[in-house]
Amino acid sequence: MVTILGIAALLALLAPFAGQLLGARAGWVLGAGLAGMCAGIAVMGAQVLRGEPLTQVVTWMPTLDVHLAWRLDGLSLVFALLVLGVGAVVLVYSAGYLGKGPQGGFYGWMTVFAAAMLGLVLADDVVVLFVTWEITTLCSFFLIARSGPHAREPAIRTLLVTVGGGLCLLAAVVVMVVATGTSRLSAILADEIWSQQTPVTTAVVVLIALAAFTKSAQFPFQAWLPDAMVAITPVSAYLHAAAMVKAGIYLLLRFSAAFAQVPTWSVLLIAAGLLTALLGALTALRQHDLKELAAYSTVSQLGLLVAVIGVGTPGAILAGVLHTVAHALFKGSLFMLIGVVDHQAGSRDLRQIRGVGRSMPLTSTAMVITVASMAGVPPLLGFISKEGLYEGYLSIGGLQAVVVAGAAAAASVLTVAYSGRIVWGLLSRGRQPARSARPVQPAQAGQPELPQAREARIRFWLPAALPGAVGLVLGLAPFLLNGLIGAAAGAAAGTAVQAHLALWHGLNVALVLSAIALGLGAVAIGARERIEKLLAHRSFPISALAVVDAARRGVIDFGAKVAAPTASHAPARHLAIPMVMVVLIAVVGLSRLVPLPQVVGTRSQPLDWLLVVLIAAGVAGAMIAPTRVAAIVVTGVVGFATTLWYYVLGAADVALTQLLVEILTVVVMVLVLRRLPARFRPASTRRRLGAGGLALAAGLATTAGVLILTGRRPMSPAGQYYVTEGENLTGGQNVVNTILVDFRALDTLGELTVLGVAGVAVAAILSVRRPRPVQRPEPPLRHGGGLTDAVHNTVFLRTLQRGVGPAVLVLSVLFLFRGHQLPGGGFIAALIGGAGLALTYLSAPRDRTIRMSFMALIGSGVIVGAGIGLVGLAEGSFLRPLHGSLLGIDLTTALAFDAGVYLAVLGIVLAAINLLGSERADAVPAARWGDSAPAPGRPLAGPASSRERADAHIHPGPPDFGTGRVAGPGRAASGGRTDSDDATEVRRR
Amino acid sequence: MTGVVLALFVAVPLLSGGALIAIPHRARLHQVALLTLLALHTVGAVALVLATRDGTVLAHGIGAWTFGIAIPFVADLFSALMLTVTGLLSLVCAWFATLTPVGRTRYLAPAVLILVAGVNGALLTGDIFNLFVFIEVMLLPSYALFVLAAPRRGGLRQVAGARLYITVNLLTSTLFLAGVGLVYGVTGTVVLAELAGLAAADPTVAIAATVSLFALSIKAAVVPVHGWLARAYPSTSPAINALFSGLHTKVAIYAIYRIYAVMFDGDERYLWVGVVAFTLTMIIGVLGAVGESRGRTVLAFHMVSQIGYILMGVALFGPLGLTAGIFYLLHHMIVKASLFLSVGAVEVTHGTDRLGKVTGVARRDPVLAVAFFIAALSLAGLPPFSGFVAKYSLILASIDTRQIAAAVAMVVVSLITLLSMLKIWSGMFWGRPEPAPDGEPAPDGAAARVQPVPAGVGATADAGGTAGAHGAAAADPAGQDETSDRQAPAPAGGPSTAAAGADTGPDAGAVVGRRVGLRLTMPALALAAITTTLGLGGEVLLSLAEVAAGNLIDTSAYIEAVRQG
Amino acid sequence: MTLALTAGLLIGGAVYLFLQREMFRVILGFILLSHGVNLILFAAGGASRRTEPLGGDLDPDVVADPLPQAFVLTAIVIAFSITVVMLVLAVAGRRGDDTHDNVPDHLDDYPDPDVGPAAGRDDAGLVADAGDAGLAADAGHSTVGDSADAGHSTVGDSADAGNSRLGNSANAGNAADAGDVAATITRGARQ
Repeated sequence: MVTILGIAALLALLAPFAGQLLGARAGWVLGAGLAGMCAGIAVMGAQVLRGEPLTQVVTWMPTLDVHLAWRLDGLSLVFALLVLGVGAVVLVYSAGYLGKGPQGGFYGWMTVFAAAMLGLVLADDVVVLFVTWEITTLCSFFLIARSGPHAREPAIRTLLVTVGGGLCLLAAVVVMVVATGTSRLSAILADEIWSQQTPVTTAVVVLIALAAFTKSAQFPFQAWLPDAMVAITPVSAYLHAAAMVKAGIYLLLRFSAAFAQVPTWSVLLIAAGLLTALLGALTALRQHDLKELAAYSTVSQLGLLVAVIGVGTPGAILAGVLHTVAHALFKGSLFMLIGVVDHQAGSRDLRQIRGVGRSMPLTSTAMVITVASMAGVPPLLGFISKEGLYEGYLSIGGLQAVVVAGAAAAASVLTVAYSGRIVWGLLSRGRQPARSARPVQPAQAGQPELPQAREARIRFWLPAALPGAVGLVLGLAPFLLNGLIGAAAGAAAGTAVQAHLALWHGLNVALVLSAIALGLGAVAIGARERIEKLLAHRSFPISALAVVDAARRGVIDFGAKVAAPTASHAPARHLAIPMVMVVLIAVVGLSRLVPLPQVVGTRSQPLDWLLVVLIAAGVAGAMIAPTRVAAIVVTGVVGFATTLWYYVLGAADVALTQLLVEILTVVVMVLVLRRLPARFRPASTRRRLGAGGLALAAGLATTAGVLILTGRRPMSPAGQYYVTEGENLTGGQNVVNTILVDFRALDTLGELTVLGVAGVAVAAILSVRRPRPVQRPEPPLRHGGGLTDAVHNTVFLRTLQRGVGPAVLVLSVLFLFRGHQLPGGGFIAALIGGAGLALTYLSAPRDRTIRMSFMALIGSGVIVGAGIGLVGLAEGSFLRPLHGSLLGIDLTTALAFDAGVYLAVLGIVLAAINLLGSERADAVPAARWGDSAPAPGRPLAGPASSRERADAHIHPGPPDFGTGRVAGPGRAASGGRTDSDDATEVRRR
Repeated sequence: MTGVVLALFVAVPLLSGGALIAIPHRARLHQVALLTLLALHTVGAVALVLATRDGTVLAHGIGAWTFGIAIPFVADLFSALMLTVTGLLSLVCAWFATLTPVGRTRYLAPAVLILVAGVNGALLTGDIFNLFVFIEVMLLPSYALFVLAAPRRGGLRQVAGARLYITVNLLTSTLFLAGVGLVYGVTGTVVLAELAGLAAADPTVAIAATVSLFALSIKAAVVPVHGWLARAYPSTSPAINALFSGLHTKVAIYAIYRIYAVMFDGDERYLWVGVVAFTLTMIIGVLGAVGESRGRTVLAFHMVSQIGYILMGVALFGPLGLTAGIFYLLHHMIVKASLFLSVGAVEVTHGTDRLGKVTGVARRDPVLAVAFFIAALSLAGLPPFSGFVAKYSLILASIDTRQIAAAVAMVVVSLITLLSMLKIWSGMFWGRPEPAPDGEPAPDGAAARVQPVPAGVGATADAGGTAGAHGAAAADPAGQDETSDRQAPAPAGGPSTAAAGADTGPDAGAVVGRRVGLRLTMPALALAAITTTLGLGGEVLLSLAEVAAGNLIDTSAYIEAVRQG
Repeated sequence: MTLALTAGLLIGGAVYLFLQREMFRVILGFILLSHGVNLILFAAGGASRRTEPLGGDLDPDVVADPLPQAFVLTAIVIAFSITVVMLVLAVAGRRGDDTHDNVPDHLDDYPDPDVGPAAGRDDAGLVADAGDAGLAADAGHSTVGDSADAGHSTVGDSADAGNSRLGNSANAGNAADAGDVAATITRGARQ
């Protein structure tokens, strides 16, 4: 069995290539392949018929206890034969049907389809069953979608409906697995849980039924099947006869063993089935397009099948299996023959092909046979199976039997009627076939235009007629099927079933019903004109297609609404929600408060209150400040107050760091400030109130959190360890610094990386987007002189700087070295140095960038940091400090590490000053190439030079605009922007 | 393998990143260095997986200080798997990036390397303050990458997006820091191994830890704090978007898994909160996705939805749930990146990801179409792709723990997921129907496998469309020559676009004429191939995920390893 | 108490500020936020012990917990780095640091090749990119020529456009705005 499946998979893999190389002719090869497999299955079938099903298991996902388990019993056998047999015929038929050109796609999907169906009917593991089920869904999607743009919408609808059903199956699968503890299908069916009426059972029953209904196009999901008629005929033939729709029937038959006794099951199936049967048949009566007609007929026939499975008695199941076979034969044949007619006559519209049959005797003969079988005319298989169906329905017994059988009979009457329409349309005298205006099948491209339809070549109509012929043979000699059908029914019903198929069952109700059906049907054929008129204007109340589409649109619109609230790039909204949640967390936390440990010591001291007031004032100021400058100032106040706080709390290092960071922040802010409007725009009251309320809540939450969660324990063991052990472990007296460079150097490494990369980020931003130009350019830059001359204004600062500059640098180095012992260290030192640079910059007579590559600084900072860390590996661990003494001075790698920090910090400070400091953009290339002046050494082919060439092309303007071009895709637009700068400046002067 | 080497996962990328920052820019050198290092990282991570696949935990206190003082680096199978996929994704995304204009800026290589260093650190560290630091280490380069990837219009959208992205992330990490502070305030330690079980034992610890967990769930974009992600991510360039989708939110998710497993010891009392929140996340996310009209926005919203699925694993705390969750996490990283890359490839070539503006891509780039469709189906959880295994096991887990509502949500959501995927499919790959459909029809794997990019396909397709042929004729040669011959690191989109613009001039046909080409397709295709393999051969990853889940349920090995380290 | 109160004040103010509209105020908000959280970290160490952890033989009962101090040091520096980045972003926008300057939807995309002057500019951008990567520069030459004019022509009307559109002299004065606005309008007309 596995071998056969393997071959199937292989075939599916090769099919596209075959189709690509051989074109349509590949159908012969592949058809032969399927036929071969069919034979193989048949051989195995012999053993199965002896009553011992074959099973094989291949391990797949033991973790989930899911295996590729296969099982060939009677039921699987019947379906496998259908799938492969009909498949083979359809493929051979396609060889004649398809036009020239590569057909890789079609054959690829068809064979995958066949393989998946085979897997589906052989699977003995519900998960595998589901997988194959979904694969068939996908194949049908692609096969439908392939047939051109007009097929896309139907394809999508089909996919959505069937996948929906598939998901029901998935749910059912999971529930079954959980309920029975196994995913082995045979075991699940045998499980006794189904006999007791638990909600689980009901749920599973409903889910399975839904899955099958979607697949087999049962009410209310029947719509997709006729909708999918846009697919080319071979596809339709396969879909309808043996594949897709039969998967649903197989599922129902498979599970009927377990569910036959569950009322929900019977009710659902019978009701939906009969309703579908009637609706389908009625709609079929109104169709003129033969394919549509046949499609609705399929829907109707499947309805009869579902209903009979719902009945669930062995007899009914038997009938079900038999009719499945009969239907597969006549419907497959019918579709292919329609294809032939369409192909030869150029149309399949009953009104246009009137009488074509006369000019193509063979085809029409075959057509008549199949249609007769469909209508249940003896001595065809369709007749026998119809009889069986009636007996099945009657086997319910009681009043229901009458109702059900009656409904079925009614459906059959309609069946006969629409079958009659086909025959009539084909054979009745009428005008010669008119070429339809519709876009003709691609297949016809090569065909010479014919004055009238000509009989198809033998190799075209023979495969089409074959299944019908088989139907005829089996109709005459039904006993051939006894063993097979019996075994299948037995497997499905779970009890041994003996089949005694015969044309003549003696005079019984079923026969009467058939007779009635045929009789009334004949009458209906006679009255077809009137019926057509009658039905022409009646359209089915609710078009399910519309429903699907409406649902689709509905979901999409609703989705748009759902997304709307967050549809903004403005941070405020996205920042507010988290804060609300935080407050919520605080409230919940307070609500379930437990007795807390005592506060250790006294948390506040009198002096603190001063700071509280200071901070309160500062915060208030920051909130109401109307201009940006004012806001900076008050925020600065808060910053310094915080610095004091740190100092009061005994953190000199932190205080120092905070102080320096404040200074640098202010410097950068000032640089930015020049490019922004002076005043804030007044915030709306709504915003003020909202923000205020949330701010209040957040503040309270914070205070509460701090009060409750902190200060209630003695110093942490870690803290004590640092305090007591720190010095003799690291030789450093400044405990905080030892933590930074020794114990938790990894944090510091990360920190210096962050700092450095921030510099890179700044450069990156400005490389794709120029900063807004300075709002009020300082006069000296444009035209010097006057009181406004900054050059003179900065005299004092410059003289100061001349002395201070070097001193600052010395100081910073000093701090760097003493850091391990006293307040100081890499950060503080570098921040001091940075402050020095800032001073140098501010005091400069004109904007000028400091000629130093910050990229190099940053890079080397990171390198030193990480590098020193790696050196530590020599001592057995990353970032393990090494101690050594040089010229008597005790040195530790921690110092070098601090140096790395120093470099990184200096780097970002430089970056900020260089990139934002200068009015001109010529600092930006510095951002890109790591040094402001292009190094002379760089080969001319280097990126920079070629870039400048390109830039020169863009901007023949002043060179600083040229070099001002920025990197990356952002350039073009900002190119336009530069020009506009230029233009507007001209306008301003 | 000993724990000492773990530090290399951070040190090496940092060092090389620093080096690439320092040296002047050589596009080729930078790209080669980047890809080699990422490849090395992936190899190393695989080695780590092999070392931990039996459940052993590697740990090492950085600086070799004693337990409780040193910052421990810990690697169990979960972290190892994350490292592997991280490496894989960053490799593929970087590969894609080098084919787009972004790849020629000097910032890409160093930023990506440092980003990876940060991610690795966050995955390996066993110290929550250090986690904060590493999250920042991965965020800062991201800020650079975010705007760096400015499109040709000068990145107004990038700036708006970057502002949102930075502010939200800053708030997030500051909140996380506050949480860490409170945890330290109550317990006096920040070492995860020392905090083990405390949150379960002491409600005050639980509250403190909740603040941190909440911060992480903002980063992971859990409803109701999901909105930023769907807005910010699409504002950046396709390559970077894919990279972020693979790394950022996932680190947060990883941390949530880890912290809840260790600190809360999988406490059942709080699980229901997760179930509710994550179910909502699934639903809201997918609804948002289906309503959007741009390819990448749809995908970004899907991330939200999928994150709901992933985190459901932790909410269904237990062997099955965690296994499913971990599998889902890894699967999703791959699939989502693949989707972003295939849609991104279209965007890079045609200049927009607005659905309905670019049409008939499937016809011109069958391979790309296949890649996208595989990933899309996998995302929707259809067999035979990894998404199915993930979804099946997760649904199994939730039914198993009687979370029926959640299970139903999962099923329904995957249908809507498919719906929205079809929306992209028909809005971008099919687009408006073109007349006379012959030649190889749209979603045709066969044609793809046989003749990768048949020059015929493009032509025949456009022959129908009027000026299209002209466009194709003009664009293709240009694209071919310049990309392959003249130019070293070719922006596959670039030249052909320019050529089309220059030669055909203003002409709607030009849009139809352009082709994405194989080079831009390969990355997405590679990931699509992986998801297929993980679907058919799911067992490999499943068994690993099971072991990883075991480590999360019984944390003793983890704790012990850290003590010894 | 005092410490808790201070933290509350800071974070309250922070929330108020970062819910404002201007990026600048958002940034100030985050500065306050980091102050607040840093104080929380200090509180976590215990506000009752306040002696500097400096020098030898320290008494664990009075000396301040050094670990939070180290944390805060790290946090301060990280916050500073991000602040710088945000400040740069504040001036990279179109309308100053207004976070509401969301791009008009049709400007979101890369431009299509079929949209008049804008197209010229964009192709120029592309070719220049190519040039950037060392592609033969003359390839760029031809396209670029007209592209530059295209750029100018766009700008021609831009300033007044800016005036009429934004009515805010500061903005109109800023050519960057005008440029974009002009683009907006030309595109808008085409929509």
